[in-house]
Amino acid sequence: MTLAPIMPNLTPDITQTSPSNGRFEDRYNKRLYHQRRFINRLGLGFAVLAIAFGLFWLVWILITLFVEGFQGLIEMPVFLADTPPPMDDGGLRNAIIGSVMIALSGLALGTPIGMMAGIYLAEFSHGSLLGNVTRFLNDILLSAPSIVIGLFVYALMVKGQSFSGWAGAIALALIVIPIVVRTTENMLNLVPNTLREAAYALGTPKWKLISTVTMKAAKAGLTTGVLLAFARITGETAPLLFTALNNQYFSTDMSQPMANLPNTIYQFAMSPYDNWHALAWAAALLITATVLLVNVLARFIGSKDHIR
Amino acid sequence: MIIPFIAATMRDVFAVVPDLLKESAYGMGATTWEVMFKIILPYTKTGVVGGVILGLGRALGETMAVTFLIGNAFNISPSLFTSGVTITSALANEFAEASSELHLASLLHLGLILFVITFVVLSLSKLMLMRIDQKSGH
Repeated sequence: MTLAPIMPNLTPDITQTSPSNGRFEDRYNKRLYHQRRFINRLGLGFAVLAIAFGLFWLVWILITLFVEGFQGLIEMPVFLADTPPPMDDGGLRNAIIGSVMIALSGLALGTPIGMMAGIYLAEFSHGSLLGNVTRFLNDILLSAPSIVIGLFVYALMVKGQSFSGWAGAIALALIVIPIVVRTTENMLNLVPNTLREAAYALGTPKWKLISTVTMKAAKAGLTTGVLLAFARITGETAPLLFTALNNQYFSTDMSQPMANLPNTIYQFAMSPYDNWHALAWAAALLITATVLLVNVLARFIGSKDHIR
Repeated sequence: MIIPFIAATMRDVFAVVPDLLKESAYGMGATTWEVMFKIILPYTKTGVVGGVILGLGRALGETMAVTFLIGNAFNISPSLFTSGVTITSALANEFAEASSELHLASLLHLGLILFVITFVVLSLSKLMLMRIDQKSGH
């Protein structure tokens, strides 16, 4: 196949030896071509190496966690007994119950506020100063160190009073709010404007438009946001350290210090006792499994909405 | 812990680049690597730096993983391989046991310092990422 009659050679010859017409394979600059191809492969190779490096640690962490965690789950009556004293068999019942209670009340406190703020940002603040400032500060709060939030709640609720489950729940709610605000706003912005205009054309008041049209259209996305927030707070240790503290005994009283999984892991993993180590691994496995499950669920709900 | 975080941010930032630009470059015969370095990176420069700074902000506030491993020795050591202390680990280790008023107040002050540092770092990254978001507008 010859291209020469159709396409004259426009580029000046770089090497003397290449003919001005003839097969394409003879005309291009081989050295440059090979060099570019080599750099391309080198670059992609390094990118793949970077991925492999990241995945390597992730897989290693997961394998260690599963092996040690299952050992703990098998050795100890994790779900049936409370946290034991050192060198004794026991479980994590109080910590599991406490963690669930604190996380759920944190979610219950944070979600409505976060959603309202998200609705305001998406539907009412059209480039207003308040909206922009809120958005900016919310994004900073999203990545603010959780230990600072713990300190804040300590100064607010624990100082002068006592450590309590409620303080822990509020600290977690403060982490939930920015996440829910962000996802709510993003999801509502994805709702097509034609839907809003159609509803307005029917004479709908704004509150009814939001509650029955846009919220409904973005329902799956909003649920995903709440689930992701839940996944984030189940693993948070730092804000519970100074608020809910820990409790060796079974308690469902939210106004008292409460046992919770992350703090139990912290306390047990730093201890020199083998049975506490086993329980810490089991607790870590439980949290990881929960987070994984919630994330998969959120992905599933989110993708279902996307297809529709 | 920062790797997955920065990776996710970078993916979002790179998604901002219009397909038209990338397609034009491919159409001219650029390799994947050349498109990456000559088209995508210049276009998303601020976003990339913002994403890395955001990762720094996260790393500054990381508490538990650091507390487990750093050893909590109160000295300034020139070697990164001996035990030391970070703001977060000092807070996590001592706060619940702080007895005197002064101890408590100084730990709270430490928290304030950490908050100011992360606030500045995060604002910086946010401003940079906002410029990238504006680019995606058109």
